[in-house]
Amino acid sequence: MTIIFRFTIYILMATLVACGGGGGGGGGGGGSVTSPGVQSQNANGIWTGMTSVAGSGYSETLAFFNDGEFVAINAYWDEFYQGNYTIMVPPSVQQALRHMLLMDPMKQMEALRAS
Amino acid sequence: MSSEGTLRATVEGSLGTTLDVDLVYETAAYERSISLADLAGSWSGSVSGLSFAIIISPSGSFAASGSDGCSVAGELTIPQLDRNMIKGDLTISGFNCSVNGTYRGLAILANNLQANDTLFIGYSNNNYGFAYQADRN
Repeated sequence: MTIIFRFTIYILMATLVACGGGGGGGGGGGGSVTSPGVQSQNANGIWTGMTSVAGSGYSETLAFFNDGEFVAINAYWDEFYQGNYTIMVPPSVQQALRHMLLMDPMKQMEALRAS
Repeated sequence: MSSEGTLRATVEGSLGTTLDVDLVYETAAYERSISLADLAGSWSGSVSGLSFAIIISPSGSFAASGSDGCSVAGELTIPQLDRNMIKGDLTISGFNCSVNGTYRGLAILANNLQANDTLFIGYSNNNYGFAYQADRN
């Protein structure tokens, strides 16, 4: 079979910044709540939206993520991205997590055991 | 950013290209049960200059052939039965096929004219990548 969507082979890694909700509607995998106000960041799921490149405009995008792998199909530009991703926890969540650990010695122990 | 269900993916390429992808989580599309039985059957698709056919067995094994002489064999698995996400490992081969090799990828089921009648598939290795839409026959 030949390529349907032109493959941008140089696309290697995506960095996600997820906002609230466990990184997407409860994080796809359920967005497990680890503490009041702090949820796991999990991007698993099906996503739709827009891709933008400076100077090139926008294109509709279908993306699916699963445990570190992702596929994104950009039909308008005839492009397809596949690779691995990492999730950046927003600074506000990092700060809340640090505060929680400082205030709760038991949570510190749990975090150490989990690390 | 909304309180839930949005993300921005910054895609960095080795050539220095940077893309921003702003996405919204599709709850109904993803948070539903699928099974290998939903995948089983014959599928097909076409684009300019190429047509292909896929047969998926109830066990998840599949075979496909393209009008370009390439054949595909592989296995599909569903990591989580209550989520619409399919993983695939496959091998492309063929005497006149220029993209022989092993690949891995992801797929999802979608509803077009009826339930689970469309597959979106993407897979790649270090050399090539492909994305397809296939429709149930």
